[in-house]
Amino acid sequence: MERKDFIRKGLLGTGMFVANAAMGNVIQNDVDELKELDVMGFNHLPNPESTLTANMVLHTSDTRGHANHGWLESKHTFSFANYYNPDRMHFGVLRVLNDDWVAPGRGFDRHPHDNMEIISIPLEGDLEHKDSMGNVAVIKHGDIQVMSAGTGIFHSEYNKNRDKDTRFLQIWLFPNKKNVTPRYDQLTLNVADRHNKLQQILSPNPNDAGVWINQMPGFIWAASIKALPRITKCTNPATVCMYSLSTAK
Amino acid sequence: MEKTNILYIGRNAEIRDTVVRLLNKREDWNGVGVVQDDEARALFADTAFDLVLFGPGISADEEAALRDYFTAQRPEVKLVQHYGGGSGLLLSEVMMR
Repeated sequence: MERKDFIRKGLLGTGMFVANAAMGNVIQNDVDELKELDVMGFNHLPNPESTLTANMVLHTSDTRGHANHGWLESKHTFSFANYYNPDRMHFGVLRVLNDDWVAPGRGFDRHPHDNMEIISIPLEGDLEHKDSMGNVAVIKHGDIQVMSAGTGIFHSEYNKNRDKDTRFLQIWLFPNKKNVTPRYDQLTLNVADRHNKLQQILSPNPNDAGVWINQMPGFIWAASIKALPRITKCTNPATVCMYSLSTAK
Repeated sequence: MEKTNILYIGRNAEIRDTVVRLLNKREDWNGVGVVQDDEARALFADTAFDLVLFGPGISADEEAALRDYFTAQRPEVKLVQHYGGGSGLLLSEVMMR
């Protein structure tokens, strides 16, 4: 799919906001649940009968799950780890959207993943990554990292900085194929290209802009609240657009 | 305390060990894990599992055969695809049953 077509499709896709509480008065939508999007087996595709298709789903920041482990503070948009809310399980194929702050020099020790498309997007600071495929990398603000966990990988992630937190979005999507060969990729994007406009950062097509995954939704990043009036019409359930507008912890 | 008995099946032994360790960190869960389907069937016949988690590396045919076997033996047992390989989704997968 051509980039412009993909973005156009994204603009018409189902939208999801993760916004701070102050945004609540701006968005004319009182839908804040996912009951129509039941888990539907492996492919977890959005339900075409859903009455939510003409709406966005608003999760205000203060309704997210919260965990503070000292070295890690995390806001969970959906049920994750010890946060369990049966009304916040997933949004289509989007299963995990964690907003993580990692203390200087600290991080996630070696741990496994399988059968998930895992995307990490640093917002502040640098994240050092090592995995069982032999990849050693540092991702920083402006970068996007993707792992297709497939049959299984192990990796670690640490805040490479000694003097400041690293903040990053940890995103997991159900794959459209089980047991793929594990894969790692990262890409540096031009942050200026998302200033008050949408930037495609991920696609199901390896030849498209951004990184690619084994799944269909497109993710589009909106950098500023000023972009909101242009991105509020999401009607097609085939695509998941994610707009994260929150900056506050 | 009544424990939830959980059988994990996955072809990656290191991930199996991790998941079983995570399951058994909770006092109210009792997890055992195998990599081979024959082991799974044998354990299932001997233990009153409440939940079976399917991990990575199991082909569609193998999983279908296991599901048929488990359902024929004890249809009330919940069969769940485990995603993620770690602790992130375990609680949700067990609680959703």
